[in-house]
Amino acid sequence: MELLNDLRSNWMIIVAKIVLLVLLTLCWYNVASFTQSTSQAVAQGLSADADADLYAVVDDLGPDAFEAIRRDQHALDDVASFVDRIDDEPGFDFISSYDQPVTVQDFCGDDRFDVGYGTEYTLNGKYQDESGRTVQDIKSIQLNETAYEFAGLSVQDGVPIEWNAVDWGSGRIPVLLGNEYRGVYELGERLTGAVILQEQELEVVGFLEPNSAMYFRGEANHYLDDTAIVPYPPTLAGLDRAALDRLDPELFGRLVFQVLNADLAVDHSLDFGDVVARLDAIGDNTGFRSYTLLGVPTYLVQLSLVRRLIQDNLVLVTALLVVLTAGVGIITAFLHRLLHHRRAPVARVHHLLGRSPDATNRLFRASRLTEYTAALGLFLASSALLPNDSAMARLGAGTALLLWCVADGVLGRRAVRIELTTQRRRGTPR
Amino acid sequence: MTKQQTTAIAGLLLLAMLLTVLIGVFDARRGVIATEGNDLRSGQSAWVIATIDELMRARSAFEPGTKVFVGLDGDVRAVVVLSGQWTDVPLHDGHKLTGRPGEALAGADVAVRGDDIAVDGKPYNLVGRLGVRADSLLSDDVVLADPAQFSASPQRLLLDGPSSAHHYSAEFPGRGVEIIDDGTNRRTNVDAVSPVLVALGALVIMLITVVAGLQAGRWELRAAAVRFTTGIRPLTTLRSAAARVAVIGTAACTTALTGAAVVRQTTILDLDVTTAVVAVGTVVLAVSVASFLQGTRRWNC
Repeated sequence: MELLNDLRSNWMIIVAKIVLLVLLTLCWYNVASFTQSTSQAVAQGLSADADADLYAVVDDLGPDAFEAIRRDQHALDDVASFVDRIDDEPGFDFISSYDQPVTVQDFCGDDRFDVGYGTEYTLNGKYQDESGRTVQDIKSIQLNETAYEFAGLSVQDGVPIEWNAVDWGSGRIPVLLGNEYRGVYELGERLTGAVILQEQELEVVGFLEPNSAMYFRGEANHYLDDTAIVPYPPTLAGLDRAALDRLDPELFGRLVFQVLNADLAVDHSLDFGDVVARLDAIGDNTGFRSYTLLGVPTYLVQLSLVRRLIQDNLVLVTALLVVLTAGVGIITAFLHRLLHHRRAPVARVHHLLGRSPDATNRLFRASRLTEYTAALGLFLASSALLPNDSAMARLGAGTALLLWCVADGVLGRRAVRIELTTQRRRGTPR
Repeated sequence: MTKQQTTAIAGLLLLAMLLTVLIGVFDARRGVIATEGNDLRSGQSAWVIATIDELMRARSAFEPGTKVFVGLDGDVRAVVVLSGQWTDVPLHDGHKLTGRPGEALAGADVAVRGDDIAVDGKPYNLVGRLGVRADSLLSDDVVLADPAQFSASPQRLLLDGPSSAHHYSAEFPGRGVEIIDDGTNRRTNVDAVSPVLVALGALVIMLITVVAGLQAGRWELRAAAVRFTTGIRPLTTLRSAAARVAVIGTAACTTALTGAAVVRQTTILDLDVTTAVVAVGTVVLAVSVASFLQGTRRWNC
């Protein structure tokens, strides 16, 4: 009965308290979900593991020398073993990635996936190739396992690439698609497309996490949502050359030089001279010396700047949250006192009637519980409506809300008890 | 109101004002951080093939803050603001473009001669240095305010602004639009979280203001009841009560606007909280008057 009386006379204060508390908890929820997404972003390609010096390995062959070496099977084998040896060298991460578009037959997607969409290339859309088939050049990144790991990429649906099973000679390559491909192609579906000018069957084995990004050609935020990821074979020297040559005798040459032009992530402990010396040793062993090593100083700078922008945002959001919490704390204390003053006369009457302070406190328990339940329910309902959904953040903010309610309840009980048991001081007018 | 009560109301209002300025700072700073991480793009960005003259003729179709970039040599680009002002430019020195042709912004690593910068032999007046800090993602970039850098024939232009691609499609139906989104912010959910935080902050401010207004009205009511019994008309009491709340409100507003001016001077943030501050002041006055009038109806039949 007292619940109804209390709610009827104090509903405005109680509603204001509930609304404020729910708003504050929603702020906590938002910041918690943002913190979570920040740590995920840092883990994806911006972590301390990515703090390496980056060098670009490029061949320095002129057009004639290039043509000559591509026809010379022995020289190609040298290049292949050069690449494989760098890949195996401890302290070196051989990050090979290239953005040669894949020409897909009867492509199901729209122009978003076209290699010209949003880039410096022209958007061709679907066109007829020499054989009269409808094809489209789509965005693609070909990369090796080290590049995939270095960028911190992961699969959300499907299975990761089984790198050791990638076999270009079989005519079928597993591919991962960016998040925007969902609904365009299904897991297990097969596309026919030309990778490095060679027709292959591309089997969709997985979809990347949304907003997956990697460092690519001086650009820290190269997003892969509209891109098809094609894996390089695990080694070049170990390739089934006969099978590859049956597909296209020139494929191996194109593949080797595409894989060779790569980035080299080197541990900070090695300086430029050490890297050159090691590469020279590998070059002497394998017989391929026509390469140049270039430092990529912008990589570390860009990496740290991107990370700092993300952290700047985190600092800002946290500062705002602290101020909001303090603001809501002050105003809630104010409402709390107001509520107490309005409940005090009821408590005093009960005290006069001989009830114990505990029994008097029990009078307001129901309305306090109603207030807290309403706050929790409203928070759970409204957090589900927000665009950023995170179970961890909801759990954290919900726990903080419960603690706040416990503290509020304890302080309320204590205030009533003090109100009833404090001795009136003689001579002090009340 | 007693002195204590006046202090309480002033304290609540100052808290609301502090929150308003802080949310303003948060929003402005978030804007420039996003723009830096987004390679100077904000809002919706799209590649379009058009001439600058066509876009200028259709400028009324675009929302304020819409601009067009054309890529020139390397990290140099030219910009034309189609509508309104280009506000959230990350700068660590100088000021943003005023709209006069011949101005330029450049990153910290770009070589300049005094206040001038020469691009292809043509001198430009350097008005600001790009980047939230000197070492930034934009330290090699140059932005020129020069419509003459745009070609008269259709070319690939970057259109950027609120719903810009949408307005472009409506204005030029059938033309290709390539929407892009590759900024740093996409790595986290800050773009989803920030507007919610700002909205929640604004709600908290409104609640504080309403509570302060209600309380001021209620406290004034006690004295008004006594004055009513001595024969003073409630409207006269209301006038003096409203004047008192207005004085407190004006003092709080002035403090907030001074604070905002100090922030604007010390940082290069485009902070405009005047509307919000005036709204807070108005709401507190209106709510206190409404609560007072509502209260007087009990005894002033």
